[in-house]
Amino acid sequence: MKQRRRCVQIIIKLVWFLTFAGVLAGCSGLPRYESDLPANLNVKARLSSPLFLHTAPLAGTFDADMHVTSVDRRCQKNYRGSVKLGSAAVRVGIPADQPSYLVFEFSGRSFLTRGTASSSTYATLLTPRSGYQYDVDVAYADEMYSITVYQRNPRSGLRREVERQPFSACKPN
Amino acid sequence: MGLTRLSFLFSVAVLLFGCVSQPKTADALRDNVKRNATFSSREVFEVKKPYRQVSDTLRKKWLECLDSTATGSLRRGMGLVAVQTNVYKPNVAVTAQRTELTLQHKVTSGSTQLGSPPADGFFIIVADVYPANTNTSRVDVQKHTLGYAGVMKAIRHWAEGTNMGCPDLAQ
Repeated sequence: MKQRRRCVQIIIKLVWFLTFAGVLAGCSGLPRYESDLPANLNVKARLSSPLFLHTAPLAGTFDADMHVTSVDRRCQKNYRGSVKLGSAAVRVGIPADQPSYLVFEFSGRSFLTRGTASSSTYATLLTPRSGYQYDVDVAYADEMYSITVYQRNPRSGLRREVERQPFSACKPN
Repeated sequence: MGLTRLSFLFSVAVLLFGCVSQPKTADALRDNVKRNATFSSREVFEVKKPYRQVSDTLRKKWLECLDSTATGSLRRGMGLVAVQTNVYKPNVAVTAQRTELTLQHKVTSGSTQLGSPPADGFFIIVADVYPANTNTSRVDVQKHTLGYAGVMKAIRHWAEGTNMGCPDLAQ
């Protein structure tokens, strides 16, 4: 009995350690968005941490993620995964001619202040046209962010800004 | 800061806040500001731009940026103390003489809002835009809540056209 209790305690400690190590390693635990579709969404991010506490020297983190959710004809959402945004541009494929709900999340955490965390989101409904490319510029600085989506015709190179659509713009058919 | 001290400060803030009822309408918020209620403030400024232009910009940015969700959590050591989810609902009403922008806030998890909030939450910020003259607009921003300096700053940026980004409501 005593041995069993010790074993349980060791397992609990191990789980805590692995969780902590995972968090320290920057593992967000979010399922990665994967798709075999041709890449039509190009995301570029420029991020500057809002608080010094959320920077590496003070054992803090600041992350930006894009959560991808597919939306069916009845406007039912189905979460498909997340993409971590950083200094490198990201290219992913989302279904053409059907809406996807893209949620951009900025989150900061500081271990110096015992792990207080905060996050905020910006969401838009996007229905990519077949054969078109979509460029997303994400910027965060001075506690303000901007997310701009452009539709680009790869043949002519012409680009136009796509206005943000709230989820309420989805109409079941 | 110790958790006990934090809880005490939070309790005091809640008590002070509770002395004046939290606004359930935009007019109730204006009344609270007029009476200098605790945590209420007002900022009025003018922009050298026609009313229609300022109204259009603020309407667009208000709906685009403030229809948002923010979360905040407090931990102690390895234990999670609380996670609060804040949902914001922006609304706009435009007439030829005034543009009214309102922001409502509700807490959907982590704590309970007392005082029977409306379905979309209590009114925390109301901004009114008026034509001062043909080429000048007056912006009157009133709030009855703690924080949200980022939103106040963003309204001025949008009206003046100096920064069209969205404020991070979690900061």
